[in-house]
Amino acid sequence: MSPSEILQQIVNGLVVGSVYGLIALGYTMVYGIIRLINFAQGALYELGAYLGVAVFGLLGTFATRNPILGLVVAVICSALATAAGAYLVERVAYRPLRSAPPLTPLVSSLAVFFLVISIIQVVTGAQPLTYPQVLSPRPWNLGPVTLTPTEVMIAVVAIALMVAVNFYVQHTKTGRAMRAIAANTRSAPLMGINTTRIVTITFMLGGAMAAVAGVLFGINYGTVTYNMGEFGGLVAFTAAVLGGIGNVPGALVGGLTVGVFSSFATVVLPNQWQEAVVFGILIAVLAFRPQGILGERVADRA
Amino acid sequence: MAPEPILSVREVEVQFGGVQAVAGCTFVVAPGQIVGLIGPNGAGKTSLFNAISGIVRHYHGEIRIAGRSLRGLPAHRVAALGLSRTFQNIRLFRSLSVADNVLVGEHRRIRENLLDSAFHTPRFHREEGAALSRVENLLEFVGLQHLDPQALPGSLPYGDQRRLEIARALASQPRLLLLDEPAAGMNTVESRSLGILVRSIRERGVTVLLVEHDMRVVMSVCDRVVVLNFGRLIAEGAPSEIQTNPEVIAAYLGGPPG
Repeated sequence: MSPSEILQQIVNGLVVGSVYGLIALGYTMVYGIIRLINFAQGALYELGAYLGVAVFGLLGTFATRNPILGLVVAVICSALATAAGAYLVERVAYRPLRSAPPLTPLVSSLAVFFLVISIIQVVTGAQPLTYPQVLSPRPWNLGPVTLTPTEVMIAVVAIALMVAVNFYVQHTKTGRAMRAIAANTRSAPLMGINTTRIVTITFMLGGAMAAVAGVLFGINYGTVTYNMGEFGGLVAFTAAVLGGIGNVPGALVGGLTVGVFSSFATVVLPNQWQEAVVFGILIAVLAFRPQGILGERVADRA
Repeated sequence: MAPEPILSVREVEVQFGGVQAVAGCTFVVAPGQIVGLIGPNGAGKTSLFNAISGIVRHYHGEIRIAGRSLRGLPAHRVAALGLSRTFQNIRLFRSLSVADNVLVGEHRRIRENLLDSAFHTPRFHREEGAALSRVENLLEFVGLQHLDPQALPGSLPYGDQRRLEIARALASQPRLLLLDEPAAGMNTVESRSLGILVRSIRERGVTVLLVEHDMRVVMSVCDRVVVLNFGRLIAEGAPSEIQTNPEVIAAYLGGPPG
């Protein structure tokens, strides 16, 4: 590979990686405060992508005439509806299990994952759905690399949202409450923190970010398929683990890293190897650096 | 007529499995008092604290704060009634900075919503700014003005951690503060200055219920002392009366009462 090809792959990887990072936020925040790996996150990402298509469909010619405004409406509606879905999932599948052994809600989250994906498969008849063209497909030549306006928009939106979520967690009242619950679940209520409410907000925020990621993915690739949540969800989970699960900036770092690795993998290896590379990373991280890039040792958190 | 008690505990029983930790306690705490709750190890003091603060929710009898029954209330609702506490084994939020620990105590007082924080409204800056200056005042009040607000609590000396926990508990502006062995592990000088702090907390209008083994602290700061043994209340009165009460002496020395 020439240096410019390498640079191009890095840039491509950063674009996809920013979307993975956005999904990974939900895994990492939920894990941070209630120590649950919420596998339903991948399904919420897919749900968000499909709801985005649905909104574009409802907007009809309005979206064809005002594509950017249409996209904004689709993103916001999909994020709100998916947040509502995340609320429902938390209420029905996790809250009744709050005092159960940790493996029980994990199994429940897998059930939710397959349930949501199956519903989407049935409703859409497993047919891929098409996203409209929002921005010009003509690539920009930026020095040695080329990028489409859509790719630039995706990276900017995803990274801006991750920075905003990090600010929210670090500098607001609700964010402080999240960190307090993460640090000591049993003492937090004694400070007047309604833990049930904060946990719900965390799930909804994670769901909303996954939905935005889903719509961005749809805009970038043009089609969404009923099983996109499987690969997307597991890549994002790998990103969360790689960045250090429970660590909010780690989601961004992990997402970008996984994105760059998988981008190179598609060049060096046949396309089918992409998943193997991602899960190879997951296994390697778990074996050699389970705390991830930015994570603390688990013993310090307990 | 006596003012309505800030805390009333009536025939409270707490059980863990087959163990009767608190076996029918009745006492009241009047507003503005400093009341000591003492007794030998295992007398049920911490269990009673856990019932009052909503950590233990299964108990018999009745606990009221300013006349409001706590029956069935989760801990965050009890906190909303004006109760705050510290712990025998310090329970600071170890991954949060000194300032954030105190700010978490302010949780219920800060009024901001998602839109405020998303758009940095004037209200957001006003609320966060006011909260930060209250944090500074509180740290100064408990004698921790020298601390770096961004330090992690785990790096602080033990006595400072205790004081930080008190600052966090005061941040919610409680009416009633429960202190669980605040002088544990302190030397004479430290526990004397802690006694001074407890009295100045009362001067802020906060009623204090204090579990403490250090008798110099108990006898010098408390207006009244309640003594538990084997989960039962065995004596109640002014510190001077308690010191000479034969049943209390027997409980501490392990001899027969009388």
